[in-house]
Amino acid sequence: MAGACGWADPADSPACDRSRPSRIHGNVSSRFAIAVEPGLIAAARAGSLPAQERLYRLFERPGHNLALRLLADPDDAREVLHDAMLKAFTSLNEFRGDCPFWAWLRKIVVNAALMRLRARQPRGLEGLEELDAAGPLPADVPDPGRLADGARVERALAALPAATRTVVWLYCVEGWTHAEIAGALGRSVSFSKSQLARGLARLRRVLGVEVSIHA
Amino acid sequence: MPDMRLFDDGPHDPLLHCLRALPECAPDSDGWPRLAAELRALQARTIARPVRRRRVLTGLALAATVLLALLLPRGGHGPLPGPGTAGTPAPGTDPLAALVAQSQWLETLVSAPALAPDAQDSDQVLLDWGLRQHISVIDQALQVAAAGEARQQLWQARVDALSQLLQVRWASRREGLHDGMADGAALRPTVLWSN
Repeated sequence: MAGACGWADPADSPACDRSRPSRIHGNVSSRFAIAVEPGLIAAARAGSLPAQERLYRLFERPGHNLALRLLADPDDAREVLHDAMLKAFTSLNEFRGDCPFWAWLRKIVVNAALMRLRARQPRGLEGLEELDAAGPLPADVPDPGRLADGARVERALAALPAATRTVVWLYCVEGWTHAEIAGALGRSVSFSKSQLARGLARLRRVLGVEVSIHA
Repeated sequence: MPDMRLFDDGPHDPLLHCLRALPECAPDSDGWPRLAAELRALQARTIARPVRRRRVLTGLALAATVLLALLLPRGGHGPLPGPGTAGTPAPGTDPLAALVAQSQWLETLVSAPALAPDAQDSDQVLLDWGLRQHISVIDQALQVAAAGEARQQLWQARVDALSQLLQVRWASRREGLHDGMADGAALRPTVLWSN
């Protein structure tokens, strides 16, 4: 069950009384899933720069990584991280604690990344390139056995159209539901489902993972 | 939780595993110093404003009057709408038409020469630029948006963005007027003191 901030399960909510922030394990595969002490959030909300820097350092890598996976451009990802963290620190009063802090921050990063994608497109998010069912298949020859090559997976992911890549990453790695993805993209749930199925099919073909899909 | 029917082996699907196992990419430069500088600047402005507000409360009321005196003859659109009237069209009014009218009215105010952005205030310039970019994106979306609720939401977003832009420029202008008063340079339109 996903919450309003796109987090996977109430059972995965971070234990906030830990002395040190730590990774959350379980169904959430997102690297954002880092528990944060309420005191640290309160200090950052009060304007403490050291507290804000601590939060920044905690989420710098996952924030940049998420933006990079959605945008496939390191410069854009760096700007999105900056914009998102600035937005988060100036909006901390709006964080009410009804979802984990990481999920709240992650949504800000996703929105900032989508804003940037929107700015790239003359027609906004609706103009984002997407995979067409009748579109050509990649000429890349599948090479079974090389799936573990992370760079190859990265290239295949980055080669997906922006909308398809966004759906695949948010669904498969961040654990968002189709309804949440559709809401963020301003598209329908069926759009999210079809892009996921097509995106995964293309990745499987490019990467040589031939398994049937039960969409 | 994602719908695992898409994956033959649920969370153990090799493709899913590979996506989740991709290395985490760190930014190639430290973005904190830049962010910290912006946060400090924002904090300085936030702290300074209440102090200034208490000190010159009466002067600000007068500054607002001066600003209105500057604006109204140029705008020629009659008095400003009263508090709470924005976004509340009269019964029977087409909501979309009301939003378009609001947008046009706000655009007239924002474009008034008296509210031209202060190029010396880098924070304001950045805010101003960001809001204008946002409005530009909305305008692009409006060019292709179909009729209906989506179009109305875009016009609402445009009204909201223009309102924010007006507030930013108003705040800057108000501070400029206050600074002028502190120097003894303001209050020259003595006609305002006729009573």
